[in-house]
Amino acid sequence: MMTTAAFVLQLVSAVIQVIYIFKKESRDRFSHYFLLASGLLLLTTIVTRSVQIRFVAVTNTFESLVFFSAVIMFILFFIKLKIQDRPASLLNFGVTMLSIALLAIASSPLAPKDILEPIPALQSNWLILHVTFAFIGEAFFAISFISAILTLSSKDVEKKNIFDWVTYTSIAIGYPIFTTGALVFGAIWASYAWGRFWGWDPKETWALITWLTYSGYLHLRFIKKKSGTLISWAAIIGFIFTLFTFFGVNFLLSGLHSY
Amino acid sequence: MLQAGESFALPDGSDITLLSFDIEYYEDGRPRDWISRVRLSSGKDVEEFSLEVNQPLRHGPYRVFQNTFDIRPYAVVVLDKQKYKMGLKDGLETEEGGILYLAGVREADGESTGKFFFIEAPGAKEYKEVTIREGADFKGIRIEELFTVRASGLQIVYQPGNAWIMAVLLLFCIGLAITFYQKLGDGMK
Repeated sequence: MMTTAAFVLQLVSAVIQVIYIFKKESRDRFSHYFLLASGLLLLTTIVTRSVQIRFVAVTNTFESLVFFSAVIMFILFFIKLKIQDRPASLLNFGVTMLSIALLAIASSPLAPKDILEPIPALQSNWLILHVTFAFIGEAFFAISFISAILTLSSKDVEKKNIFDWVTYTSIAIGYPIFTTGALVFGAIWASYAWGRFWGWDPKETWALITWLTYSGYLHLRFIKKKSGTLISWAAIIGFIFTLFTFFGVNFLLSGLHSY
Repeated sequence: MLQAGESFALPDGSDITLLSFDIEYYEDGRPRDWISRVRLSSGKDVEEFSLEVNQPLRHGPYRVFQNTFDIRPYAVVVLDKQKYKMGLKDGLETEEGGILYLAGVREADGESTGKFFFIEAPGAKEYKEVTIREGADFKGIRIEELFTVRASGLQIVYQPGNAWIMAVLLLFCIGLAITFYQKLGDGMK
């Protein structure tokens, strides 16, 4: 019920955003509050389920998607506070639509909504750190994905630069969080659960591919001082790998991460 | 795979004996925890530990993990005045030529029970479950006792450099933080 309400709030926000995108003379002052409310509702969903299962509810696809969407909402809200001008509206709309798509998948039969206590393998504090940090990092990558698309599609140089800056900033913040959560905390948890730090499980392998892609992006940015078209493609490919690491591995490739 | 009372030796000469193995279930029958109570005997030192998933036993460079479990059915039967202990998938030929097998079947509450299955003739593909109570006869085979025993699957991993790997991961995180602190200062203006 709360997830549905959050979904509706995102839809309402998207409609308001579209109106203001076409209404060029005035500035959108409301839509991001719907996003904040949506994020809070999604977070409440996680808290409610956590109380019911007496464990942090990030143990299945549905809960992960809800958490993912909640984090995106909070980041979007702060981006809107930080960037008040029109490019933010386009960015917010694109990311809101992405989040709506994530919640649509969460509501589909692909993601069972049963409230289930975690199986023994998942009962670890390292799991909580691993999953939450990974998704917070990926939420920043989601922002970078849309801003990279907007960088490529914008003809106006000023807008292009703003979107490029958002892409870079999102990846620069998301990368260390993702690295710590997905790789470092994941490796430590694996050593406690399975007796090895790395096992070339499909999810691990694809997470590494994703990490290398974003490492490549940052290398091009930091060392080669590249910006614009080339590295925007790297950001787009990075997020496609992120999505495949999550959905593709969950639904197509079985392994130790198939929960 | 150990049953309570059984032991195995670690490569350094220490012994691990399984004292007990418990399975806890949620109300819907899904497993909540697998707990092996073990005794580690290393020279004169004897200590007891509880092993659970995600909570391995550390002993020098070795880690002992709660890896899997099994619920094994057993039956004590009498055939031609001879007493036999039937284990999982053991078969006994009846007087008429069919074979009585024992198998473990998982019930809805998550527990397993031993059940008998009967094949009319050796090599036949079709089998049927037969309910035989303790103390009853089935085609000349008398079932004296039917019970299940839980077995715990423990995994030993040799991890001599564990502390070093943890140190490397920590250094990696510190390096990442320092790099980003510097680069973000330069690039995010």
